[in-house]
Amino acid sequence: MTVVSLLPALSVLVPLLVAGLLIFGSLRPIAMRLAPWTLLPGFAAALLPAGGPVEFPWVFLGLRLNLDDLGRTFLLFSAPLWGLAAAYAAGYLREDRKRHRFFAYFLLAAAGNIGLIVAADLLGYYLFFAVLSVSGYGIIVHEQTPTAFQAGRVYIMLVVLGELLLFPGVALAVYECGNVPFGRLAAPLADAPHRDWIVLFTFAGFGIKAGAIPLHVWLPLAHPAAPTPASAVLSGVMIKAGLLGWLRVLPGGIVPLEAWGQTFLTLGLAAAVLGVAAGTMQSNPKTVLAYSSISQMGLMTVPLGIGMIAPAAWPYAVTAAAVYAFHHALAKSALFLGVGVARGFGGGSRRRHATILVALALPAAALAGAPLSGGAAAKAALKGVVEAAGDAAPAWVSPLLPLTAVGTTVLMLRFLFLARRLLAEPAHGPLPRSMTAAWGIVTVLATAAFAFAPGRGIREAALKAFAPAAQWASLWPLLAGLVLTAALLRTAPETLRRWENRIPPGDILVPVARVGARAAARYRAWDVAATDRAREWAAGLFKLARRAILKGEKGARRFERNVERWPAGALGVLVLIALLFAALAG
Amino acid sequence: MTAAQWLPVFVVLSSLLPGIVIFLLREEAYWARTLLNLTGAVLKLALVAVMAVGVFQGQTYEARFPLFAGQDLALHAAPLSLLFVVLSSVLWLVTTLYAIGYLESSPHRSRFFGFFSLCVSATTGIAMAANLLSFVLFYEMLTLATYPLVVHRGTPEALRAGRVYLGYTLAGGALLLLGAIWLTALAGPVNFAEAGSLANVPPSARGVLPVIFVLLIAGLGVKASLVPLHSWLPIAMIAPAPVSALLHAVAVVKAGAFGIVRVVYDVFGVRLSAELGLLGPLAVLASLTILYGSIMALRQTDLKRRLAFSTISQVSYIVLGTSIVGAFATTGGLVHIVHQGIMKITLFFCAGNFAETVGITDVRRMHGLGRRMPLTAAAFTVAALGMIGIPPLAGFISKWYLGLGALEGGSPWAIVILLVSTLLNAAYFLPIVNDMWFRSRPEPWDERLPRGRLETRWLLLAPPVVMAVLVAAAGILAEVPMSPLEWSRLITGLEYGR
Repeated sequence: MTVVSLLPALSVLVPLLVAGLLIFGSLRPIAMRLAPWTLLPGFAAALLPAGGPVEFPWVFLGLRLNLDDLGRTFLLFSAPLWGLAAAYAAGYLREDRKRHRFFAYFLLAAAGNIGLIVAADLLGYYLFFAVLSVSGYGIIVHEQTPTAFQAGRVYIMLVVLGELLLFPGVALAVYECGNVPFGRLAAPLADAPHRDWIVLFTFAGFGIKAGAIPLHVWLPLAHPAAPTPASAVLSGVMIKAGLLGWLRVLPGGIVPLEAWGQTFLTLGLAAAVLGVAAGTMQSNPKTVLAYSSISQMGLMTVPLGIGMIAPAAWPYAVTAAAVYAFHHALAKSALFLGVGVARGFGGGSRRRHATILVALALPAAALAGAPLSGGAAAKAALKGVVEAAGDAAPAWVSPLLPLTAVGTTVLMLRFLFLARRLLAEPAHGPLPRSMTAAWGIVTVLATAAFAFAPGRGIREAALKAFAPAAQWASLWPLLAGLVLTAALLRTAPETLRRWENRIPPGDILVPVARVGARAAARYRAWDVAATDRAREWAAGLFKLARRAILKGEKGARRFERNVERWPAGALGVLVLIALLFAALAG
Repeated sequence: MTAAQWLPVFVVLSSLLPGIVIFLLREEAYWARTLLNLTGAVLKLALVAVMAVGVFQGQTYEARFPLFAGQDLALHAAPLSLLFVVLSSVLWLVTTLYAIGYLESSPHRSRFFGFFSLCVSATTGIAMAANLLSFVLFYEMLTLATYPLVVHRGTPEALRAGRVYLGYTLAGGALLLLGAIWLTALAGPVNFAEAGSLANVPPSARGVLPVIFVLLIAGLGVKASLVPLHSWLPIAMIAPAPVSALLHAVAVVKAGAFGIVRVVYDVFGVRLSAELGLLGPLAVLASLTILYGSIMALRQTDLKRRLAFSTISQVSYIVLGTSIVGAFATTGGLVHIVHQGIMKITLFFCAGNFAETVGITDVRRMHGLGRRMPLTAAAFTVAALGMIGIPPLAGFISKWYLGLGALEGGSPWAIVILLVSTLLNAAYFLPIVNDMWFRSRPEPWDERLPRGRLETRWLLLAPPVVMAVLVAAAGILAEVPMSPLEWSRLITGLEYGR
């Protein structure tokens, strides 16, 4: 075993160990300083050549780790983003007395996130997914405000729901196909007797994390409620755990799964539209970004849908989803971290405001797929899937894709507008350098990483998108979005103002929660009545039984008195036992 | 009989003899009593370890004493016995330490520890009983030895709990005895044997076997607190925390569940039980109990009562695993004997710590305990997450095997039961965990113990922490040689004749 082959294991263990150090009061300062560096093994693993699979047969139910091509692309953004967010958090929480607690959950979640990327089979993925989900709660409710608790409650309910969906999904898959390495899972899964159940359970179970409609309701609550560095990883990185889960499990590329493909496609495009529609009405910049994530994750679902309809396009779909995830993770994290920076620089000089707005506009434009950006590359990869599918892909998909870019442009303009509003408010205190530095690095990566990133399919997509002929295709949706926004602002400013906050964060959650509360109240009323009735019955039965055992009770009472008169009672019992044995022996 | 054959007897005596001596000690003889207790506990653990290694290497241990009319009092160390006897001797040691810390300077300690030792002797006897008769004897001994522990506090409430306990368990014991006598009359001395021991029952007598089965299960179901025979358990939680811990984790409730496992696998045999159509109804009963216990737990506001109802639910996982035919389900049920034990004992230790240290017994008043008692709260959290079945903790391993077993046994509805139970467990444990760690308590604590460097007495603190580590280890290191899982698979192999 070489060091390189141990890197995947180390990249999980190191954050876990440092999280463990946080238990001890005296080690906390050191542990918190180490936190950002704990993601280095993961980053190194992503950059170095693969060391091959490693097995730990004694751990859990036999743990297998492996870093394949797909995992590498995910690790390539996950490890540095968790690390940079940790560095940012050190500054962001500098006055927080409970920040060690934040770091503990943060590092646990990071270990879970890295772990699921390097997990080589479904059971391992499921394990680390649970670690990530449960510890995510700690970073969401960290600020302990009513909003945070409300977000946390919705989050944990959906985590439990996800667990209820994943358990049967994983159990069925492992029972029918064995816990085989991912590469060998698709073929038996496509023939599994309960294939559709497995797809349903894993689609919904991972869909919660990926913010798939209608399981997206926790995102607009949780992502803004968490401390900003946590929002960045939640919305940028953690959300991709759901996507990777789909990529790992879905039995694409073998037989057409027409119905599932249509479902994915429809729900994905619905999310893309709904995210923009609900997002533009928000007035909290972080909520706007959360809705943008729902919309973008919807777009990442689209290639999977096409790939399931057309098996030939499946490999392209996997690559496109990974490339899109890479791009979105960097851009979205840059934007979230930027919100904290904008807040910290509020009330400063105009020139500084302009610099920050430009720096925010870069990843925002990338999300909208501006020419020469990661977004353009991601969209080129997406188009490649449609082309590979040929006639199998529904005809309405390819004209719709640029329209989603128009929507994203409008949404990002809304975000920039709100960010400018933040800059107008006075900040409290100077901004720590770790925050600006981490934000700066992520912004640079989000803008330029596509030029040199080594992950699967990234460079190919970039080459295709950066060709001169492709520029107009990336540019016009952006321009259309700008024109549309300007026209709306010019012609109907009143209407826009009225529509602000029309949809509350969590959209469909509000009516659902109302129905839920009514059902709960009705259940409680029934419960009280039923309990009374049961009690009457029990009382009747008890009376009967009591009459029957009244005599026996007298004896029991006498026995108690004897036991109280200890040690006579104790010895009595002993003698009794001895007699019992003796009698039987005799 | 060689010396090695006597090992099972020594294991029982290692707690029985200290127990008898403790009765004779004066109340103030703290050190003598502690020394006796710990010597017994450590000695038992050592003897059990020797036996476990021996059995692992293929050695057999069996001691027989003729009683009457061809009936023997017999103790043996089959792999299944060892699973339970290892659990009870580890938990006895830990609980003894906890009880020493818990009962510091309270009255009647000699009485308490005396019966405590008898209780464990009976449990180990139940674990190692090699035939039905010996099992019944130790089972009754357990009933009697536990009663003084339940009423230990001597309050009217405790005495009432004791009455209810005796009423239920004696009635259960009577049913069990009746079933055992009937079966013996039918088949001669009933020895426990892997894959069942009723092969020589004449086919003409097969008709009454289901009746006997029902009698035996009903008798055992009282202690295993199967619905509707469960009512004594939440009432008995009035007992001191170490008693509840032992009662719920290993002694009484587990003895009932273990008995059901013995009856299904080693008396009737899983094939015969299935042929007679006895397992389906048992699975339904177990499922009802799982759901009922959890729903009731959700409605409790007293922490110990909530835990008591949770026990009712969780112990039936074992019965559910037993009643589904297939190696996975059997393994899941067997491994849960250990896993439920270590998880529940952790929770009861923690509940005791909260009550003794800061007087918190109400689940709605647990705010800020994570700050005041971080290690206890952490232990509670680990055990609670384990109960829910979050990977990689012990409870998940049980749930996983039960889930696979449900698929293998062609009863996927059992997965639904497991999932609903998961949901309910989450509903009654997660709010507590949230309150402990994320809600703060503005008012000062009602301190019951002198404040020291630790959050509570070290004898109260160490046991839950050690057990929580075991809960994590049982899951994280589930595949280590001689782990509970490995051991359960070994037993499963024997029960299915492989």
